[in-house]
Amino acid sequence: MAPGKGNKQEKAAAAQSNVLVAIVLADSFDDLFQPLSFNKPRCLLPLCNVPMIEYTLDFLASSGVKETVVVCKSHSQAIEAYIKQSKWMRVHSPMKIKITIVRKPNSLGEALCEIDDTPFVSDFILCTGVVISNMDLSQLVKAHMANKHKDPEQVMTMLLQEATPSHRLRDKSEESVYVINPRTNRLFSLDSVSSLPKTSELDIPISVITDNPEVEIRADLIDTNVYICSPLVFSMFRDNSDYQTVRRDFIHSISTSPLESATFYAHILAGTSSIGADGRTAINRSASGRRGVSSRGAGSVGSKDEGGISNHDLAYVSHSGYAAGVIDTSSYDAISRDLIARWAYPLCPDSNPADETAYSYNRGAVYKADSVVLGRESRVEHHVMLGSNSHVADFAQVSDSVLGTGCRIGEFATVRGSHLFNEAKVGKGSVVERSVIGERVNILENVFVERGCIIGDDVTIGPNVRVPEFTRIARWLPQEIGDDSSDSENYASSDDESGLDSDSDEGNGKGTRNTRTSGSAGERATAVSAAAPGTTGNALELESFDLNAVGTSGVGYVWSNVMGGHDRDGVSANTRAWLRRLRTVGSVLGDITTAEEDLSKEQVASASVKVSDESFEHELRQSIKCSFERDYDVGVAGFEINNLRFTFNGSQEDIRRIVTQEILKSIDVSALPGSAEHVVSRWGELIKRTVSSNLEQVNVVDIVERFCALDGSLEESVRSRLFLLVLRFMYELDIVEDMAIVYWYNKASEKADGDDVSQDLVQKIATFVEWLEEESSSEDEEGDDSGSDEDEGSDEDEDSD
Amino acid sequence: MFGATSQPYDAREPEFKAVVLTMSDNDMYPLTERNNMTKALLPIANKPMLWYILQWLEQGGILDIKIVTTRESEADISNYIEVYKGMSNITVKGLSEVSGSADALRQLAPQIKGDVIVVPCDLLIDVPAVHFLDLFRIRRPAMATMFYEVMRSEGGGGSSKARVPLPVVGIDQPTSRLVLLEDVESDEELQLPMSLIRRFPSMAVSDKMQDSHVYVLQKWLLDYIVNSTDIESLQDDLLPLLVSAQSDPELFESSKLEKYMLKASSEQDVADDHDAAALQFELSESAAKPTDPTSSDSLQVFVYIRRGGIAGRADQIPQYCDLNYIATKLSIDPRVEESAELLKNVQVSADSMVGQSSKLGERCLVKRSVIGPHCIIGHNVKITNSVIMDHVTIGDNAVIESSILCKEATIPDGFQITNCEIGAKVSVFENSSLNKKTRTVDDYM
Repeated sequence: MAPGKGNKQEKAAAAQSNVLVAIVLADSFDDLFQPLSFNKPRCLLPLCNVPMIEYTLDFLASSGVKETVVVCKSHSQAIEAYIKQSKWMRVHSPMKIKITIVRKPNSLGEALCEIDDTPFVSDFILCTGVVISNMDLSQLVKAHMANKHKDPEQVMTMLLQEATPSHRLRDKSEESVYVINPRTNRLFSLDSVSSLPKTSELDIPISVITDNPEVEIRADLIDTNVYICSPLVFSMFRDNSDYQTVRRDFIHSISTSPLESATFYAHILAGTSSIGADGRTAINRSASGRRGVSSRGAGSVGSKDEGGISNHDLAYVSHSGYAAGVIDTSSYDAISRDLIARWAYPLCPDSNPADETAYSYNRGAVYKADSVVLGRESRVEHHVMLGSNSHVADFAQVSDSVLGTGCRIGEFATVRGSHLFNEAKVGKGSVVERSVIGERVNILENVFVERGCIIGDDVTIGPNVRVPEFTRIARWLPQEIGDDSSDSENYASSDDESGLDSDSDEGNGKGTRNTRTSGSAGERATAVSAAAPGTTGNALELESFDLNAVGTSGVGYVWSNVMGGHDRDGVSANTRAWLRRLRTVGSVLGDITTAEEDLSKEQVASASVKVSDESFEHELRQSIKCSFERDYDVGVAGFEINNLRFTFNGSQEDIRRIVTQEILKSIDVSALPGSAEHVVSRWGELIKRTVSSNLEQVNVVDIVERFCALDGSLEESVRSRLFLLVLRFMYELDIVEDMAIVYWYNKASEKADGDDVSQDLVQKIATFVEWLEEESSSEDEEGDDSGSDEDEGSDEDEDSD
Repeated sequence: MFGATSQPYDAREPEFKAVVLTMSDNDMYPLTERNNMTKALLPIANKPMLWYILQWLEQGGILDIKIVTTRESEADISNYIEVYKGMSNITVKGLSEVSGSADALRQLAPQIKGDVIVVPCDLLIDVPAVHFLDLFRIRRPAMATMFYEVMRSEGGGGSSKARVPLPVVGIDQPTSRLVLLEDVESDEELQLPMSLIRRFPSMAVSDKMQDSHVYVLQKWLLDYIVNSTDIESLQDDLLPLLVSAQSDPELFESSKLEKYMLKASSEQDVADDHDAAALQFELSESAAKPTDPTSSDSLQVFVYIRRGGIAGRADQIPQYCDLNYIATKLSIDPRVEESAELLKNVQVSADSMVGQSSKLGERCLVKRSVIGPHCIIGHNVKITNSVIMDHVTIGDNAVIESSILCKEATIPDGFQITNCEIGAKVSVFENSSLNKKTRTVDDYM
């Protein structure tokens, strides 16, 4: 079938088809690129002025892939149209491309379920999102195939890139810890945890360590979103289509599940960063040669002793290369910088895969296309890419940025670390800092776009406004505000009536959208003006744009950062907003600390200790009330409490406190002695179950006292009476023993009034305590059994009343 | 980087002083019984195990060696050193009351002026000492140690096979720092603080790594040991303390390690100023000195890991047998000494060894075994997987399998011994066979 590349698949079993197939998931099923991906699918957005999908296809073709399936959902027409006119459809194309359109899926898992897997008889490459790489994957595929003979359970090899913790490619919103056996490259566990709030501990099953001669615990790896999968993966996704991501959900749950025997492998690319293969101490590595005998010893200090493991097939694979996936605007920015800084050589802007525009490489990594006009006094400094026909006026500064075709930078304007798509304009004296600016965006004069902004296509901003950091502005408002599914779904594109041609859709849609949403836009404008006090534009309302934000001549709406503040997985909306922000262009590592501070402040403000604690208390109170209302058996009620305790991992102290308080609440203070006796005798057993030691009995007295002294619903007159009565009944029912009451009384009477204890209440039980003391001493003398307690107690009842 | 060691070169004062600890414990009973010999002199491939470690040190350029032993064994070891042919300057010191390795060091401290390397007498390792010492020379950690991957057992002899579980060790790969040392019960989960993972994002973790008990200590750490009498053992007390203090600033301070370290670095500064003119070629001290002496990060414990090589400690009988087998296989000495007398049809396999002046009767078969000097072995004897020390007498038709016979033991004709340790001077006189037994002279009193 492929005479030239035949040798690459010689290890594949003869029965299997030896054509290498790849699946590219063009849809990301999230909204991290909104509003840029509003009109155009994400994979067609330009990265260094080349549509991103080109890099992926080029990477696959050069890895010897013969057939690629592009799976898309939203904007499928646009993708189809693009592929049709691309070089991949020409006769001499080395790779066939098929487009599969899926309609329903809202997640990666569902999408994979919908794909017809019949053509995938052999292992295939799966790229989620857009992958940029200069690697030849065929070697890795070969190693994967060879390993399959050794381990028939192997379902996936993932490609990981080594990088320092502060590397710009790193996803700042999460921390991933990989546990890998360095000798077989088997991946044992993968824990991805959100970086907000920070987790403090990681549990590793001890069996992983005892079963292997050695494992590596790595937190310095980045998922490249390239996976080599066996066709088994399809059936695994069908079993559970909830998986949102390959790494966090699929691999994590399969590798931790005791039912699954599937194994995962990881291939690590030595880093592009300075601390990589060379920084690692060769001394430790070099000794990996199992056959190294005494005389040679660890002789090869300073080189990676790969010869020693040459019987492992994975050792054939080169350990360097560049691979990274565009999953959010932060990684988009990082990859763009890597390309410009030639980290992915030979993949750089002057030799990019789409052969349309030729760029020349100049000093300071400045790439220039044809007919670029630079003002005599302009400063175009390091790491800049200038698309054809772009124009930088006098006294303008551009650095670390990418300018698309026909961009115009006005006089005295500054563009730093930003990405300007085709025909964007930056007016005189404006500043654009670490942002992504869509096509045909017009930034007027004296506008300051702070870092992390994403400006959608066709927006006009200005003049004289300041766009606060991490703002998203679009020409249109998202149609369904507060849509519940927004978190996982690109809402805008999902209702992009995919039956229609996308061009006409855009034409028709504009007017309707505008009118439909104008009502809420006004509200939004006021909300924004409150949020952004720095805006200088006057509040004259023209149409219904967010003029405070976009300026008097502006055209566009501010999209609030978090759509639908629905509380999911116990993560607050604010946390989610921060996590989202960490994945946006322009975010820096320091933001994590800022976010932590912000979130801890939030917690202090709402005076809540922990989300789970709060809900535990709430649930528990509900459950107890329910038991009272329905008059459950004490045993049943206790069982429910116990259940809750295990679900929420609640502490015994909390349960004791809450149960006691609820029981006291249910006492009818107007019918005091009777009601108190009834309630305590009916439900006292519940309190008793939470008490095991003497000190805990004292704690119960404490709780009762606090309740009687502080509960708002009680009248002053009944407080002390209630206290005494409850204590007495508790004593009678053996919930608290005399010792505990006496002990508490002695302690309490030493304390000052007010701070911890109400002396009124303490005084009230003085006689009761006295009697208790007498009773216990007389008991001692008589050596009596406790049978007479109750009679004595009821006598005392009269006394104290 | 020639001058990167922070110790200015002084011909009179060697860079390292080596301390060889030869105190024996009961793990090797009955081999280390009084009748037999002291542990350091037990033969491995017909050479005392002490020979191997002395060679290792000499090849690493350490010529100032002090052997620490008990009073009882002092004479024996001194006698051996008399005949030991080496170039190093060896002194033997017998101590009367030693409670542990740190305690031994404490007693020796007055005679040690610089950094010290502590080695056990029972180690066999194929890594040249230089590689290990270079790690210490370049980075100047407080302490450097060496771990090795436990070798697969060769099924050597002995009646006991139990192994102590090893702790879980974690090594930061880029720097080869030892950052985790934790005993974990089986069927638990290993809990790792995320702060540790963040700080050392590429960590190798294993429970198959054994401490070789080779330690290099900076002088200040030695001073610290001298004044901390609660530290008894380097392996069990000092190493865990240092590893935890690395990532625990409070412990670093409360254990007074910080004080000693600061003192050492300030003295170093003074010394450097003095010699600055004389040693102008000496490069910047950044590599030698901790960057920030106040943080616990400057306290470093390095570990050299020997993976998959030949390394082991003869600290237990099965390991002793394994090492005998391996050392015999690799030995460059003649398999059968010239003075040995082999009668007709004797087969000695290539992985066996026969000591000088030993006599083997007709049709003897020796496989995977070491036979010491001056043994008298009868006709048709089969010896497999065993260690036979000197002056052993074995009767005709005996079968010795996976066993150790200490010196001057006597085995009667036709006797079968499997998985046994026979103490010194024992004359076995059971009926016909022994299996999984230990016999000493006392058993036959």
